[in-house]
Amino acid sequence: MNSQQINRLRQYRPSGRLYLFWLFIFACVFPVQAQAPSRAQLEAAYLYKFLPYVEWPSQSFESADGPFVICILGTDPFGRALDDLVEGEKVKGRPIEIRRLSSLSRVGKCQVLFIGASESGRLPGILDKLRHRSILTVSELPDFARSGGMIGLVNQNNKIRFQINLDAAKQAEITISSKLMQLAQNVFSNKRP
Amino acid sequence: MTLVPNNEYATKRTRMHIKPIWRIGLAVTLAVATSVAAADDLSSTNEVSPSSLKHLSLEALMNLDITSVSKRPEPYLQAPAAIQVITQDDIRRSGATSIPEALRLAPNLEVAQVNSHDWAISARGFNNTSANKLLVMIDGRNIYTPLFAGVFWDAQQVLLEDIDRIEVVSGPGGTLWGANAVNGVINVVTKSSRDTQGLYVSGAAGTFLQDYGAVRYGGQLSSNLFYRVYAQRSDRNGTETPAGGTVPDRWDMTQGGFRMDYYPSVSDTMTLQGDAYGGFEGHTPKTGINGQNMIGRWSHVISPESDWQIQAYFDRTWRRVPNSFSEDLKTYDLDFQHRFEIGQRNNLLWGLGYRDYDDHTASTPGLLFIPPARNLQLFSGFLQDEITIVPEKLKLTLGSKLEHNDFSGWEYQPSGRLAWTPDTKQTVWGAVSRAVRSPSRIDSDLAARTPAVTLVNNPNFDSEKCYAFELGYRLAPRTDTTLSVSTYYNIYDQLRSLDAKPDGTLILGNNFKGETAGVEFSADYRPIDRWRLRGGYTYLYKHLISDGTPGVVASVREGDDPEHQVLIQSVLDLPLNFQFDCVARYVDRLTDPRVPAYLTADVRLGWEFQKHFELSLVAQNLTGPHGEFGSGLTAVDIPRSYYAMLAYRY
Repeated sequence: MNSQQINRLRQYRPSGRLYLFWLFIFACVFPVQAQAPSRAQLEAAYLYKFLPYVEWPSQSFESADGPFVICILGTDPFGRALDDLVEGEKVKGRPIEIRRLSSLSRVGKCQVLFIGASESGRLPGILDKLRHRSILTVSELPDFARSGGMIGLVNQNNKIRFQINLDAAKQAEITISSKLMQLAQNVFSNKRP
Repeated sequence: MTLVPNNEYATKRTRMHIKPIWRIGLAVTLAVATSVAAADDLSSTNEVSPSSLKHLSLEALMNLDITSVSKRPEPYLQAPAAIQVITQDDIRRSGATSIPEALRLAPNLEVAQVNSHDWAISARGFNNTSANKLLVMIDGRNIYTPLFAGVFWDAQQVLLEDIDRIEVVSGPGGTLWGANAVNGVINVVTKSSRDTQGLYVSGAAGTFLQDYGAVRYGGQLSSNLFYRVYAQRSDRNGTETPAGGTVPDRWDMTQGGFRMDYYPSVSDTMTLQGDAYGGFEGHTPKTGINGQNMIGRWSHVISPESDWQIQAYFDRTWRRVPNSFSEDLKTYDLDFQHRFEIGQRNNLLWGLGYRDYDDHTASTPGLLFIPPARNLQLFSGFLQDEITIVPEKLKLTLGSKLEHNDFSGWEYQPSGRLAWTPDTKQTVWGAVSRAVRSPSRIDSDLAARTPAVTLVNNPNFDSEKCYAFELGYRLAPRTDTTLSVSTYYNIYDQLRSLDAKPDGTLILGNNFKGETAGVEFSADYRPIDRWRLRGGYTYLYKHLISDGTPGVVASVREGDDPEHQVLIQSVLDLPLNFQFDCVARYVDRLTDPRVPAYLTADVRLGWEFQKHFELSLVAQNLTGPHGEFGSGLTAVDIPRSYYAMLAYRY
């Protein structure tokens, strides 16, 4: 065979082959349903589940039956998962509202602040500004609770666990129930209880 | 320019000829059967739906396993550049076994396998085995060689399991990254050792990837000091000639390394990492390569408005092609950068860099460098200001890099980028940049004296210039869906040409010019939680001509590029911890040298069992042998191949 013949052979593509190829592509993307939750879905559930175990000073709500406001600062890992989860739900008689913040300027109305991964570099400053405000800070950033955040969500062997910084919560006049502390992987505190 | 000598390939082996159509038919039957079986399983599976999570107790939540699907980081949505991100999950689920294979997952790159151990990789045209308009980094360490301003891809082995993501920017990045980032920047980012704790062992056996073994262990020395060590080894088979013979390009690589991450305080991060590798390619006498590198980095956050980073690295590469060429290159690099905000509107980033190359070559009269050894120094500085014109809506980024190299002296590379973010779901961006490809040793120092050709070196070779105009749009209607379109028009000047001097000898000059234009479309979509699709389409128009200088013979290796490229990756989680994934790609024909268009796919069936084990069965290049780059004696076909891999993570 000379090189021209070889080239012609290489270009040879039966038309049925293309059709079968695409059939194959569709076959391999045959849709099926979900089984285990994603990290974001599980963390969304945690945010909601924490609410009954935390006490805020009454003045931190807009009114006696005002909503729980869960705010997300920076990267939002939840998508619609969190909104879907809290829709129509009430905790301690209060509805739940989700707000997404691009800066700390409107943080005043939040009871819970989830700090997204994008804020990693700004974390010390953010925690500093929130130090004496009654806002429960939650984040999946590494070492969050050790670094002065209140609840850090950590991935341990594909399970989501949480760590609590008791001093940070106390400073903000937030009370975390003992049940939550029992379940925590770690509770950081300088003072003996 | 490939530095591997041409081989006359033996064509002794005859191949079994099964009609391709039957092989495909068989694959389809298998795939459909798998999918149908999966669908049947559904009815009997107890799923946890997202909204049912709220009815579970905290204790129950704590005992749920999560999927390990990684997320595309969001800040990229607002970046005023054509950036694509390949995540760890994308790589693992593609069946890729090397960095170049992983780079095939970036829709805005051209990746062509030249033979078993060489690749041609570029963005926005100019693809070649010595593609020289792309800047490539691994964890901040520059891996292109000043020999030809490109990358020896065979020497770039990373434990794929430890990669966090690969960022691929097409278009000029010279303002921040400096010379060579003319058509794109690739940054391979590995995970912190804090995130790779525990044991990972994997082994594979197959036809093209004959055997592979890797082990990594990550541990903790104190509460804030983490480390990992790893080693891996692979043996890869040779490619085929179009006529079905074997090509003597089989190769092996062995590599080991470590990484340490220290977090002394909330605002400090220190990293020290290093690798050493060695391998052999081809038949006796074999080409030998080896190298060692080490990098240290310290980042410090002064305040939310200000931070700095300093890094230093050493990199040595050694390569010997018997009877042809050898190179021993040592690179020393020091970099500093500092970010600070002025008021509410200005976010400044500036930096300084110094690099020293100590390059020794030994060659034959057919291919030689004059002088054989060179010490090259590079000084650089950059300043960039991100100006907020309308808070949260409109940002202008202005900046320039100033760089001094030993060949062409001072080079400036300014750019202006405007990003308009009408809401958090979409960004419109535009950019105008000037970028340069500074001369490499091959441009200035290369000479050849053979009976047929005399090439004289050109110490006056100047840098290649590019003026780029870009316009892009990115949309994220939902967090699991992104769409992106980037368009560009580039004007090139002083491209490398081959000129004939009046006395008949040849010399490399700067007498080609031209323009390119193109569209890059990409999308990421998750129809349901367990099924993810991503992909893209690129179109490239390229037109290069001589600038009219008398004696210009041709442009030299300014690429062989497809006009159209399509990529689709599907990642699907099946019940019972099975996974079914595929990557399909279409690459249009190349014209000079001619390579026919091809359409092919890689398919992976994965199964996670006993919590810690993962079995992968992978078929690569399913539609059979095809050539991807080069013609004539250097043309080889990449075979269809299979491998099985077992991984253990604890």
